[in-house]
Amino acid sequence: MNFIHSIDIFCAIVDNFGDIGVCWRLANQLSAERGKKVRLYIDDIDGANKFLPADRGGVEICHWTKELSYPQAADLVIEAFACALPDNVVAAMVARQSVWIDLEYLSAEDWVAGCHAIPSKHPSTGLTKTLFFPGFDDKTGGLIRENDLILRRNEFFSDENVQNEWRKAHFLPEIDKKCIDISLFYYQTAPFSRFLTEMQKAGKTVRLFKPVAEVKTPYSAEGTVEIYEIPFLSQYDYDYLLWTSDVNFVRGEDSFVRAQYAGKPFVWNIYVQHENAHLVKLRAFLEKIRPFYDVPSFERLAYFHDLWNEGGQILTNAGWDVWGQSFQSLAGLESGAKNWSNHLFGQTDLSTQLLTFANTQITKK
Amino acid sequence: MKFAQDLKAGNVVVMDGQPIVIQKAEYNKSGRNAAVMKFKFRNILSGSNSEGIYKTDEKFEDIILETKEVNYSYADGDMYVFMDAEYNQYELSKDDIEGILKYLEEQMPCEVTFFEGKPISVTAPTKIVREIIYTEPAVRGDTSGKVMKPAKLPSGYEISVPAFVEIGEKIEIDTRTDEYVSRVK
Repeated sequence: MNFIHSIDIFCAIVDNFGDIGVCWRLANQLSAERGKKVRLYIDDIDGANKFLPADRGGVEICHWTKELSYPQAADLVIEAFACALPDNVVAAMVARQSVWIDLEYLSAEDWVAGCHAIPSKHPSTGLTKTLFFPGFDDKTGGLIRENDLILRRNEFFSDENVQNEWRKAHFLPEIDKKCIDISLFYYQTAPFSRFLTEMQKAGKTVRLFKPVAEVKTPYSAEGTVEIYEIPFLSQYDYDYLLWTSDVNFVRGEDSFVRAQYAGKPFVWNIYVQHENAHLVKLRAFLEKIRPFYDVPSFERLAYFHDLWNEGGQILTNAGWDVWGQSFQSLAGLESGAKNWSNHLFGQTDLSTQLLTFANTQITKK
Repeated sequence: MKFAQDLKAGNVVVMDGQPIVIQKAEYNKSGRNAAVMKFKFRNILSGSNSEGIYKTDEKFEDIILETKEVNYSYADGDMYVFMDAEYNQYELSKDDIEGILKYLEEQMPCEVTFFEGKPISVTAPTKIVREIIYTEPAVRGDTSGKVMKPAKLPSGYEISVPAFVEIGEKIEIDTRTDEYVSRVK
């Protein structure tokens, strides 16, 4: 029995587009694939409009202002990333006895499983609120994944002509087996110039595909490395970039997840936190994927991550040499990435888990 | 009102008009996630147990009840006995003091909380000093303090400490978060 018909998602845009990226993807899926009536409340509507597609499908975009009128709460209210719902919103939820979910950031840390989906009485309102953690195994809420993702991906993989057509439409060169194509999305903290130097040792031409807010230099080259700047892509098209590249450098949360579904070697640039808390989170993720790689490939991958996230400060020049040379053969990394991707496709996706959980909360009332 | 992060095992709060004692409090911190507290509760009136997960900035109404300074004396089966300066003894069950068991040592100073004259919980001092009885040796050259490793306390409980901490050293621990604070000379 399905008791959840309407869903409100509240999203505060903190910086960049990470939060709205996840919220939009979830809202869109809940509307398009699950047939729910979805309202997405966003505080910085101007910022969001730079990111959101023109066609919002069935999702109603609402401006979350300080004077927000909220007479009727939805069956399920999702407070994304603890964005702190206003008192009048919570009051409307209490009146309706809405299911209240606090959707948390993604983490592979062990403690997450022990805190996921435990209904907890809100201390001042008495309404049950539940922290819902996305994750990489069945003890967590899973990851957002559209129904047709694997089909769309595999069809694209199987047809080089289609890939080349997509590349042409996005100002990228055709597939050339003699080259390594790398998509690049990273924070400014990453050691990009050192990376450029080391890529000269890859033994073949390296083509970097770099989505940017404003294309200033569509093409440039430095030794054997070519750089192609392209305009930022929609979430839909970004998948194709990940699928047509040989290696993907990704950052934050949304692109990080999509790179894992791509099943191609990837390097994650994690959002920097106080007291190096992000490095703990990075380690936890690497430990999670370790069993899916052969030992030397995993060690290389872990090395890449240390270098990319700590600017190479903790390693010697020898470490960087290994990195550059590693790109001469990607087979082990490709195999590990495929294994991991297959594992993720085998787990129940986040929206299914979210709705199942929300339904159980309604039936308990 | 108290923030969730300031609550610890033994504290009493009000939820839905009911007095609730916190039997266990676990602090979890992540990268971009704000930290999270995991509580195990017992309703003082009904005796029913529950648990809850809260962001550390969630506000709780705390109740100020009668308390008394005591020292941990001994265990008798599943009952734990605490004694005040007048040699009065107070017995609490293992469930009542679950949150502080990992730090419990003979003569450890604590605070017993009473509800209608009956002892219901014990709180540990916010900062305590404990000896490390086992930890792996540090990796050479790694003295930054950024890299953490597990270390065992006399109770068998494991805590994360910087890689430079060695067996036999004493460390200060924040009992609210179960986190290493510093080395004690």
